[in-house]
Formats: sequence, C-alpha cells, structure tokens
Amino acid sequence: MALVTGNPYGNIQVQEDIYLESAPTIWFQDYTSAEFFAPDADGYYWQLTGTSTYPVYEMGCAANVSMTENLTVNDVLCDNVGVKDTVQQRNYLELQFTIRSFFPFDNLTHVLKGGAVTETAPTQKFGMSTVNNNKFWHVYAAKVYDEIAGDYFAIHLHKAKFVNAFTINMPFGSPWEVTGVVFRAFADTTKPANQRFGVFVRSDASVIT
Amino acid sequence: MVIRSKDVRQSESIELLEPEVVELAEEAGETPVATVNLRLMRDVQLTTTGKVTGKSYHWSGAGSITPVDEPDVELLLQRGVHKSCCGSLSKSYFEIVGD
Repeated sequence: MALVTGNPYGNIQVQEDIYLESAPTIWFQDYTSAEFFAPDADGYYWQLTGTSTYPVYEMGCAANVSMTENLTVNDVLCDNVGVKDTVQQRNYLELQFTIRSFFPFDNLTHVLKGGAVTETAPTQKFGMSTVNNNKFWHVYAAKVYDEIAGDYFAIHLHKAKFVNAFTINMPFGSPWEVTGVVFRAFADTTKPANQRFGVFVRSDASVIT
Repeated sequence: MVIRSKDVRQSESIELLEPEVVELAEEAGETPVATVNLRLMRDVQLTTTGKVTGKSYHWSGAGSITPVDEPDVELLLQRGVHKSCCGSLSKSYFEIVGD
C-alpha cells in the first residue's frame, strides 16, 4: 500500500538535506578593479583577484553577519476588488556584520570611512574627515560547507558602499568590536540585466554533476 | 689667464677667464650599491628605514615602486608576513619588480 503523504503530483523540486551554518568570510576590493571572472563561461561576473594597486581586503573575525534587501513595494488596489497585485522593485542588497579584528589600519580605515593610511614604523595613522561618497567596492563572501570536498557557497556583490554610522564598543573583559558595518550593494548598470546587483554561486561536484 | 683684445684702440680690455674647475672623481673606497625595485603591496603611504644601511625609503601607496639598496631587501621582504585571524598567511608588504 502506497504511503499517503499528501504530496503533489508530477515534477517536484525537492530541497537537499544540507544545512549551512556559521558566517562566511567576507572580502572586498576597490570597484575600479575587474572581477576575477569578468565574465566566466556562463556570463557571470564574480570572484576577486587582488593586485598590487588594488589589494583584496579581508574582514577578519566577522560576527552577526546577515544579508537583506530593500524593496519598494506598492499594492495594486482596485476599488471594486481590493488588492489584486503587489508591484516590487529591488532598491539594494545589504550585507551587515560586526567585526572584532581592528588591525591593520589599511583594512579598518575603509570600514570606518576614514582616510588614507600613512605608515612610518612603528606607527600607522589615518584621519577621519568627510565621507568619500565616490568610493565603491566589490564584495565577496564565501562559505565552505564541506572542507574535505571543497564545496562552497558564495555571494558576490558588484557595486557596494559602506553606509550608515558605525559604533565601536569597548566592553570590559570582551573584545572591542565595530558594529553597524553595512555594505549596501546598488544596481551596477555595467553588468548584464540578470545580475544587476550581484551573483550567488555554489560549487558542489557531488551534487551538481 | 689674461687675453688682451687686439681690436680695442682707445683702451685696453682685459678679459679674465675663470680657472677651470676640475670635478673630483668618486672618493676612493665608495662603490655604487646595487638596488632592487620593490613594489608596495599594501594600501598605505609607507616610510621605513633599511635595517642594514639605515637609508630611508618611501612608497606613496599600493602599487608604487621604490629602488632599495640590496642589503636591505631581504629584511624588507619579511615585513608583514604573519598569520591572519582566519588562518590564512598574509603576504609580504613588498614584491620584487623584475627588470
């Protein structure tokens, strides 16, 4: 006797029994530089490759990492029926996190929207002045979920900016942390329409064959 | 040395020439030091002193190149190599630029 499950019939796209946990590692690079795949064989722009002029910066020890989107949402209201539809427009994606690594300053200054770093051993310095609103970044966040097989999931945001106010917490007995770190990823009109904001990538040779 | 002008009739003009200045050759014992071009790989404006020669070097930012005396190169290449918080090994501040 067949098991009665109440499942639908026909072609069903089931979900896999793989669960991601822990935060990805986050890197960013000056938007001026080209992505590593620009584009790849499938036409996607993603991954970073650091150069001497445009290094890739690592966000060490990130915590409370989350990703969200901002949408303009408007209902289609018909006075005789009510809401018949909802029209949505994606405004931007946001990657939000806290960082607990402060050094070196060449990484930190960008998070805090600071100035150029001057280093004269044994000191590093940078100034806090007006925000440079012309600074954009590629952002790449990757999570390896099977370290033996090398399977990973990655998010690439084409054109992002550090937005909103940061807060540096300095608690007793706990590490300092910078909260309120937000990468806001805008539509990049230089990219194809199917990937205006970014790309999601998954590599898994055992499943994707 | 004095040259008397032959064309002047009313008065004698005397033209004094400066003695030749002989430039000294390089002081005995000084030989040119070989230099190596180092490119800065970090996003900083860096000023540092060579540990061997004591010379001061300056890089204006990521990608900039400065010639460095050969005796200072090895220690400068070791600068900045340390383990990062996430397990990867950071790279040197510098890379050697080929000829």
